[in-house]
Amino acid sequence: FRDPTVWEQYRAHILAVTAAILTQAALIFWLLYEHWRRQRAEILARNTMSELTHVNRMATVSQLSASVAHEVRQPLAGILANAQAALRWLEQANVGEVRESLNGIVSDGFRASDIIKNLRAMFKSDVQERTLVDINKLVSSVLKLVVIDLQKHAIGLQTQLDERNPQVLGNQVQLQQVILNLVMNAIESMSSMETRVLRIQTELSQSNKVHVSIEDTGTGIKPSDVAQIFKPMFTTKARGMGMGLSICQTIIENHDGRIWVSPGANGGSIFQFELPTVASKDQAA
Amino acid sequence: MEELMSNSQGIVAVIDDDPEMRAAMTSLVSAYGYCAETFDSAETFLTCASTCRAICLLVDIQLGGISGVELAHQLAADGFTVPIIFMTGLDDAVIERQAVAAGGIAFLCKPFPATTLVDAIKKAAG
Repeated sequence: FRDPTVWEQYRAHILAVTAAILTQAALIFWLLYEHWRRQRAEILARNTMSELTHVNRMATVSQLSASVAHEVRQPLAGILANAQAALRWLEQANVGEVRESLNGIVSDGFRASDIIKNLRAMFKSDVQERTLVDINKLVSSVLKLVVIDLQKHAIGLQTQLDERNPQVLGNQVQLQQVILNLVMNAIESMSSMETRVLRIQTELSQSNKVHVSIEDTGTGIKPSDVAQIFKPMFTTKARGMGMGLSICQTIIENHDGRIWVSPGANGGSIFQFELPTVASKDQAA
Repeated sequence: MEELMSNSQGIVAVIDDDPEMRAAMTSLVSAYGYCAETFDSAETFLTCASTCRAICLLVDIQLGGISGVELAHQLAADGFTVPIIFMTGLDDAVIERQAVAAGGIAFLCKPFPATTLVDAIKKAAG
């Protein structure tokens, strides 16, 4: 009658412990796998968003190709007018006037070159750099881009820009894209209305945030749509992918701000966003 | 100033919010023997429209305040009869129609040849 072996004595225990260890190992491997899958998904999502933002920017800019051409035509017209004048002045041997014309040509040439530099900035994809951005100047630059559309659709413009020139730390091209998207949406919403007024306001609020609002006298947004309107792929328009507002939201939230919409006083909608200004970031740090 | 006036073929009033453009137009019309008076906005011009002795107006459609087309409508309503030449960098049929409807005698797309402008000014002078 020999003594029972360890195995025979503690078989149940050994099996139980082994099972427990194997289960835990399996769980750990599974969790690690899920973590890896999630990381990959996040990277994919970020890349997709970045690409879509870029596509959105390209689509918006191409829509404004007429405005862009107009901007460059101005200095070109100046160059041609000065050159043709100079040719006439030359016939009259008026050297002083010829010199003035040539100076005008040089100055207009540099102007055209600056316009093109600014355009190139808009076409760069995935621009991550952050600088001090003057919100009022940004609003003015967007208004310059849409001046043709405002004129064509006879849209009245009211602006109220805070004199304290609020500044945010952010990516200028992305923030410009947000304002551009909101303004283009506003213009489109008013296309079939009798009264067409676009009202843009910037204000340094009491909590040292800058508040920007873009109000239209358009068709307004159905209460049932309000919750959805910033979601990707949601659109009430016949064309377009419905990405514009979700891209705006992504950009604003990446800048630690928030964006929302409320009904306007005269029908229509007020799209608003709020961003921390540089002073408040310093205070937080 | 009086001497210049008698030598020139007439005054052209140039209304454009772009100072470089005003300078270029001044040089251009002067080179062709006209005198230029410049205004930086429709509003500025309206304050002295009644004493205007120009043979024609050269008006940019895209102005800072009220537009060139708006200006034309207002001048017509005030009984202003001096012919208006519109110029614009906007290559758009809708805007051209608006300008023609506002009673412009010519519609110039920037950049334009000097001869086109001079022909329009001569047409304005009658």
